[in-house]
Amino acid sequence: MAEVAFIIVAAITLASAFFVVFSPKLMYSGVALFFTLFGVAGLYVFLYADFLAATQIMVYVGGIMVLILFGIMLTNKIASTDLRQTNRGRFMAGLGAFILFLFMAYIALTAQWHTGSPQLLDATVAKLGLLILYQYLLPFEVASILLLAALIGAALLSRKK
Amino acid sequence: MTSVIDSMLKLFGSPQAAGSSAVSLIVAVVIAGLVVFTIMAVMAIVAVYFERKVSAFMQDRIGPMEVGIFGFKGGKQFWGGIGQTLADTVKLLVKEDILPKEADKKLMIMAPFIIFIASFLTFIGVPLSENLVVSDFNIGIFYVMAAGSIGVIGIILAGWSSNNKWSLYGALRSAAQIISYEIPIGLSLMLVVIVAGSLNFGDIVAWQAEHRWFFIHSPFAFVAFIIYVIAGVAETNRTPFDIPEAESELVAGWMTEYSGFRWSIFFMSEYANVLIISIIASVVFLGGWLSPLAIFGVHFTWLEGPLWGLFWIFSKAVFFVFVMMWFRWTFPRLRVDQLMYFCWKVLIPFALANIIFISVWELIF
Amino acid sequence: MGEYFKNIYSGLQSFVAGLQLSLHHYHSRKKLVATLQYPHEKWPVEERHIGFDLQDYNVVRSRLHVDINDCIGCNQCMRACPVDCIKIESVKPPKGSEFDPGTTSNGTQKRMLVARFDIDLTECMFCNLCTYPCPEDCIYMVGGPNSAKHQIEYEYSQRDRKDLIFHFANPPEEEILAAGGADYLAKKKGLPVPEKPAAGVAAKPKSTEPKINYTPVNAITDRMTRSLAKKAFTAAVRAGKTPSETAASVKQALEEAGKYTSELDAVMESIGKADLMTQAVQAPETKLTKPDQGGLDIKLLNDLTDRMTRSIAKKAFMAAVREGKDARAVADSIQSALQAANKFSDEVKSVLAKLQSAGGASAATESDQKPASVALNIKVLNGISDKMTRGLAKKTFMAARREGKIPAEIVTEVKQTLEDAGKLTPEYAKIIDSLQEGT
Repeated sequence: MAEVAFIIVAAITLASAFFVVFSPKLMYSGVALFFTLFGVAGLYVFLYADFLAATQIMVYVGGIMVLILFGIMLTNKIASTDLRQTNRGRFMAGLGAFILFLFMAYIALTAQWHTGSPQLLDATVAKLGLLILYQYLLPFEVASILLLAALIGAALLSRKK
Repeated sequence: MTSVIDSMLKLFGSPQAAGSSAVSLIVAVVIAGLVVFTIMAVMAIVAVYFERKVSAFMQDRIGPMEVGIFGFKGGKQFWGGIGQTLADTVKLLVKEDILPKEADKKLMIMAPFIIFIASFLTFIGVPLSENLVVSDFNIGIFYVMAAGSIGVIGIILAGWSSNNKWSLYGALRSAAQIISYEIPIGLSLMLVVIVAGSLNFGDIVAWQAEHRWFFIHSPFAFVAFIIYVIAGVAETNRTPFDIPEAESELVAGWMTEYSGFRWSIFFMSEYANVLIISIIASVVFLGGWLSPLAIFGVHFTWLEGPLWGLFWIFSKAVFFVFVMMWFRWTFPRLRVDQLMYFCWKVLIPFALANIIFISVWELIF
Repeated sequence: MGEYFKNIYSGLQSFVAGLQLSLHHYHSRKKLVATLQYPHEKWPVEERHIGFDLQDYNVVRSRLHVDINDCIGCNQCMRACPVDCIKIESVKPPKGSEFDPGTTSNGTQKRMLVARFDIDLTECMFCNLCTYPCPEDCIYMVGGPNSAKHQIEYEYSQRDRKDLIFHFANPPEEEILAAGGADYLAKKKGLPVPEKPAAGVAAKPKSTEPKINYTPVNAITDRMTRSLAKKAFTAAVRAGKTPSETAASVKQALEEAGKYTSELDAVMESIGKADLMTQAVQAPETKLTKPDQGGLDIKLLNDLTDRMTRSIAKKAFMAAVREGKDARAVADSIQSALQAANKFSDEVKSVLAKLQSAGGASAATESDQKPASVALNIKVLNGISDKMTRGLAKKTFMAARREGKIPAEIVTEVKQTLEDAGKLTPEYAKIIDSLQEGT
């Protein structure tokens, strides 16, 4: 049962990721990305990472996706529905993607995978919070400083001169 | 707290037997889905009637008075047109479905379902009584907020695919508004989470049963409650925060090009969101399924139990729905800049200060 | 920073004030409701005037109505009409026929049967010219000075334009045949004209044909309810039910429509007791007096010498009798009508006294049965000079009357409302009190 569900979710994730890359219409790519991100959240659920799955939906689907769609609508020809994806420089992009693929395949094949069935944890949130604020405090603070810098930069850019 | 799906699984068969567990899981999920769908549909029908009557009474009118159910027309004033929204529903469902020629048809067809799925998913995590929740999450509040944030995608798609300037502006405004107002909602709920020490609705209510209800917990919790209610009204796109569908400027905002069945889905989701926001407000701040007498320390055992819990939670939620309608027919619509000012410069600073103060409060008391 | 907090404070203040205001409206909705349920309830219409002397020439141009029983078929209105929107066809009984077209309420013997009296109200221009030549005063504009005969109707919308052609005369075919109208019928149907004259043939003349007696049902004041009740009543009588069964079925029909109130109990009782069928004209010697006149005789009024006076008196008489008043009330209403027209004299007084004594005994018992409600006249409120106050008073009046309150309650309620609104002066109070006296 769980395997069937996993395969369905994974298939949706991959298919929509494929669509993101190859769709001729920019807006369709954006919408397909929505399903990809949703599928990734579903994969987290299979790992019993409920907090991570909800965060994925909240941050990526509820936040980043909206920004991307906003960006698409605001960049060009705001009111027309036939916004095209140009795919210029296909060769270079394909090459880059291929190299990236080789790199990741190498890692996937050589890495020491932790195997075994995932454990159903009772409350992941408290443990995550403790880990973030004790063990991984520095990365956490660096990330927050990065976000703060981005926020200030955006405010500066949008100010009237 | 056990969820509906778990108890139904127990009812249908043991999860150990591989074959029967798949079937029973599907059956359990389908039944739970149907129940949620029914609640949403009934809520939309009842709420529209309620809204029309409340608005009429606040404007010195009587409201619908003609349509009854099977000839039963109800009393003189409030139940006078009891069948009105049923008739409207039938009308909406048999209406011609119009897709504009220049619209992006695939996205336009998809958008209402994304919005509907968002409210549907949200509803799954919302408790309706003690031990009555479709799926009980450890991260209840967070899940509900995350699932609720999906809907805005549907709004953007609906506005963009309609290929209509009003729809597009409505969608842009709606997206900006919903994303902004999610922050004060999250911050005011975070206050409760800090105090109760859990994201689970059951734990939060249990904390309130043990100590006191959150809206009278401390002055800061009360401010958080006010912020939650205001931001909740904005989150559901209702007046005075209804600039995404401002009738006087944008015709019907992002819903301009929709009609018939698809439009009724929008409507259903909108009222489902109203109900969700109200239920969460009553669970988190008003003690959920606890009887109001518990505030005064009076405990009657016969006033407790799942059915009474359902009653209390719904009467509190209906009160909030009424408050939202009350707001709607009292305040004029905000301007776009006022809306953003109110969120970023009033609600968010207050909510942030609240969190700092409540932490200090918790350390002291 | 101070400005910021001041803004938030004033925002909160206006927030609370606004909510209070709308909650106030929500709570006192019963008092503040400004709308009427239009097809069921209507605002009273202000009268309009033409001419110089209001008493004589007061006319409301609302809708033409014909009391077809009084029409003698003289065609004068048809001729007077500038736009030809009236169409009259009548059948004259051949000489020696036994057919009796009946008499008008003024006592004139009719000479022919009016087979068709159509008014096309899509063409009518409300000039009122047709009403002046009518010798029997049977065509008139409803409402205004004629409101005793027919209540005002300012809106007569129909689903089909054809329904705006009002057919006032609808005699059954047997009746037309009996009047010797075989040719007329044949022409109307487009058939060849039959050879044989049909005068005085087998068909029963009108005068002996039993008619359904609607008098008890007519006591219902609300129009909607009355028409529903009549429908059920007719169906029951046609089915041959006994009076008590009929009363039960009428009651059931009203209850199903949600119109049944406890005030209708008296009406139901009277249906249960009444004769369902009456003979329209029973015997030659009572020909000139309609049976429902309660022993009053209109001829007594013929003693009045002045023509104008006489006709006003007769009109008032007929109106009063139709409402089922007793002798005293009839005399009173004649008196008030004449006083309104400045025609009241000693002569009239003596005639009225005669009238009262003639009919007094026989009709005295009827007065008890009259329902206690709603003979109040809203026009009394026109005496209130301030427009706002008048509107408020009328609204309350209508609302109270709709709820079927008794006169005393209505009066106190109107006063209460005005007082709440701070508009009640002693002068207005007196006017409102006079509502009750005017009944």
